[in-house]
Order: sequence, then structure tokens, then C-alpha cells
Amino acid sequence: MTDESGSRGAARSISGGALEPTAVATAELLPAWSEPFQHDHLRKLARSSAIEAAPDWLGSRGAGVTVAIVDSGVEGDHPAIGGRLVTSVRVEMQDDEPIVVDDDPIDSVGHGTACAGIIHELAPDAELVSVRVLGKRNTAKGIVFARGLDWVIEQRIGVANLSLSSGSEELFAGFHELADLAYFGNTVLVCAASNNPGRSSYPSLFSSVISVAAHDSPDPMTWYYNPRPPVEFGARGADVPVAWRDGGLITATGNSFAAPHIAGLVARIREAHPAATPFEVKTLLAAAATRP
Amino acid sequence: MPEDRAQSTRGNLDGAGLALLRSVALRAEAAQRIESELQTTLLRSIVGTTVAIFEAEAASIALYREATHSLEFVVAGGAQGKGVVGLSIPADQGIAGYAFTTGEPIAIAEPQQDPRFGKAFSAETGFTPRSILAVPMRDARRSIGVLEVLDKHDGTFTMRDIALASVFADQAAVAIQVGARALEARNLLHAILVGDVHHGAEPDAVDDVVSMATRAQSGDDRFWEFVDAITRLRLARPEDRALAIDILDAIGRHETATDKRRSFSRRLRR
Repeated sequence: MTDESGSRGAARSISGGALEPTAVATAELLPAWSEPFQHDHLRKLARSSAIEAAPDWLGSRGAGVTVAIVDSGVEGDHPAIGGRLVTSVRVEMQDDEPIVVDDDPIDSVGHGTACAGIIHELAPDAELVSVRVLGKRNTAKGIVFARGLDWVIEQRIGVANLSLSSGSEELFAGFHELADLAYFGNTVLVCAASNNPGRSSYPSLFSSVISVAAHDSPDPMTWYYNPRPPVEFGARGADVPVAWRDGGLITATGNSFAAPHIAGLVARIREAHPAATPFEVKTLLAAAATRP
Repeated sequence: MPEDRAQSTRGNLDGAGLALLRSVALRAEAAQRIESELQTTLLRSIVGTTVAIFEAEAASIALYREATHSLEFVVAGGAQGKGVVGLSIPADQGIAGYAFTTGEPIAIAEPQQDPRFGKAFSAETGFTPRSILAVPMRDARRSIGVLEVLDKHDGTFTMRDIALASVFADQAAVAIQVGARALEARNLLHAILVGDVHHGAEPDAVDDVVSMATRAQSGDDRFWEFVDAITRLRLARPEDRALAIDILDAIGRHETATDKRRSFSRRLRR
């Protein structure tokens, strides 16, 4: 490599790069939700198309779309689920291998039911599938989570809500491969952003997924697009009334509860645009995002 | 290859060098035991600060115990915190278990109108809180425990609270890791020395060198004298050792009875 090509490369990255290294470094020091969502880069543009001004998918209810909740299980008879839970499986370790087996429609924590209830609120006609990778009789290992995700992709489920992530560097390559499989296999992965930027968090840090952090507006239909990585979308996640185990109801705060809001919106988009790819789904979601 | 290298390193150590290492290891072990109280003190201080900042009823730190796949509450602060110390919960259940297994913080609160809510928590905490914040404590690779805050006085936990509690959880995680590293260093020394003790050097000369070296590590001469004294007891006859333990035990009980809860090092400094 010559000096000339080296300097040309540097010049190109400055002129064409949207990201300043200092901005990224600053973002890494802050929790995901304390960085204000940067939506002013489109502020001066008029809504440029019908897609942006009046999204045709907003009125749909997720009919014909299946959403997987990879979590602690879903309580099937909880009133907040509206009887939409159609399948429950769990991943368990047998002879050191993660195996997918049928599961009862139960939730050992309440968290998966909370996510399912939010999705049902936003996409009441969508069918829900519970993939239990946390809680009782589970080892909560990264490999269990990975197998659950793998199963969702195998089943060609259109949307998966992942309000959890793995910090295991050993599974980086495995999760990357799964994220690519999902992307090209037409499964949209909606992931809660980790609260600790700079730390490993897979697959939520991968660019092919839709990563979500909480904003503190109480409106479930307010969502922001954030052009500053790694978190791309902001949705309701503070003081959210959610379903909990044993038919309960609690108030919850965290990025975990922001992701299912976006998963519900993705289900609406998938009903209105069944042929849309994950890339197009993300584009539609960003185009219709709330502007200041 | 690594074995060859270990062999040659060992070959380079003469008897005096090994005896020196062995003495250092003994002192490290004695000091570790005496100082382990400090780690607990630091964790206690972190939960105390957490309670004060959030004006919470309680805060606690639970550490992961791999052998039982459980979270054991090791310190707690606040009016409602004390009962939980020593209790264990399964590492993948409840709010603490959720934060631990997912590595994600979570805050939940009881809506005033729902009486069913309490049973989900009371078994885990010893009392029934109105709100819970659970933040994972992590090292570079994985979750090592959970910091929990219960019942903030003023409203429900916010995202700002979650960020703030995460800072305290990080502090606690560092304290745990420092303790773990000290233990590893001690174990490493032991591993080097196991089955490989040479008695080439004069024991008294080695003791002098080690005493000088350890004093240089600390401004507190009498602390290391104390450590040295305990280390020497390893060589004492069993009946002498029993007498020394009885004496130390009596001093300890006397201190407790007079409610002077000072650490060993502070007591020695007087």
C-alpha cells in the first residue's frame, strides 16, 4: 500500500463518514437512554412521501403475523394476552445439548407475559409464540438463548421480541450467524438495547436487528428513530403498566418493555406489507417515527 | 511447551528464592483472611449509600454461587434490609434472578389497586415492597451478582434511577473482582510452591527479608507484625495453637461485648 492510497482512504472516511469518532466515544460512556434521541437530522425535510406522512400500515392489527417472545415464558390464560398464545416451547439442556421441547403456557418470572401483553396491545390480531429460555428448569446459558433464537428462525416466524441479550464473547460468532440467518430468512429481530454501551450484548448490538431503548413519554404510539448507534429506536419503556405472573399487573421500567412496543408495530407493518424484507420493515418504521 | 517453561522457571529458583516465595504466600494467606472483612465493609458501604441516595427502605447485594446456581444475599442496608442477609434464591427466578440471567436492569412497582401483586415478591425479600429495582453486577464476561433497591420513598424508580444504580453496581462488581484477584494471586503462589519446597536457606534470614518487604507494602507496621505472628503459629505445636486461638477468641468476644466494632487493623493501630 502506498502513502497516496492511505491518505485517500483517510480523506474519504472524513468526507463520507457520518460518524465522528468523538461522538461514538461519548455515547459509549452514557447509558443508552440518557443519550437524547437524535432526530433533528431530518427536521428540515418535509415529509417526503405518503409513506412518511400517512403510513398505510398504522391501521392494521397484525393479522396473519406470528410474533415470538423469547423470554421467561408466557402465561397463556392471562387476560392481557387475549387468548392469542398459540404455541409454547422451552429450551433445556440434555446431555450438554440445548433441545427444544413443548412447554406449558406458563411464565416463571412474569417478564415474558409483560412483553406478550404489550405486543398484544399494539397488534391484537397477531398470533403469539412463547420460547422459554429463562427461569425454572432452565440453565439460562447463552447457548440456551441461541438455540431458542435458532428455533424461531427455523420456524420462519416473522417477528421475534428479544428483551434479553447475551454478553458471551464465545457466542459472538454464533449470534452473528443467527442474526444474518434471521435477516436473510425474513425474521425481524427486535432487541432491547443493553443498558451498558461498550459492553458485549448480542444480538442487540448487530446492525441487522432493530435495537430499542426506552424513552419516557407515556404514549405507546410515540417512537423515535435515532441515527446515533448503537441504539436505533426509542419507544415507551418508563412506568409501563404490564401484565405479570399469576394474572397480575404491575408498573415496569426498562428497555425490556420498549422492545415489545416496536415488535407490535413491526407486526402491523408485516400485515400491511407481507412481502417487505427486514430492511424495508426498518425503513418503514424509521420513516413514520415521531418527529419533534 | 508451557510445562517446559514452568520447569525451567522453577529450575532458576534456588532454595532461598523458593523459601522466600513460600513465606510470602503464607503471609498473603493470613492477610487475606484478616482483610476479607474489608470487602464486606466496602459492599456494606455501597448499599448504605444506595439506600441514602434513593431514600429507599432497603438495598442489598446478592452474589452468584455457582455450586448451587443461586444468588446469596451477602450485605444489606436500610430499615427493611437486614433480614435478607444469608438468604439464597435460585439464580434464575424472581426479579433479582431476571436481572442476573438477562444482564438487564429492571424496575417494577405495585399498582395501588392490585392486591395479587405481593406474593410474587415477599418470598424473595422477607417483606412485601411496593417497588423493586434490580441491576446486574457484571465483570468483563458475565453477571456475578445483583444489586437490589426496594421501596424508593418518592414515587417509582425512573430510568435515571436505573442508570444511577448501575454505577453503584459497577462499583460493587469492582470490589468483588479485586477480592477475587487477590485470591487468585494467593492460589497462584500456592500452585507454584506445592510439592516444591527447598530448605536451602536459613529460615530466620528468610523471615527477616519477608518482614522487611511486607512492611514496605504498608504504613501499618503493627498490622504486619500481627500477620507474622499468626503465620508463625502454623509452625506451633497443636496445643500451643489451641491456646492462641482461645486467647484471640476471648479478646474478640470482649470487643463485641463492649460494642467496639472496629476492624483488626484499626484496633492494632491504636
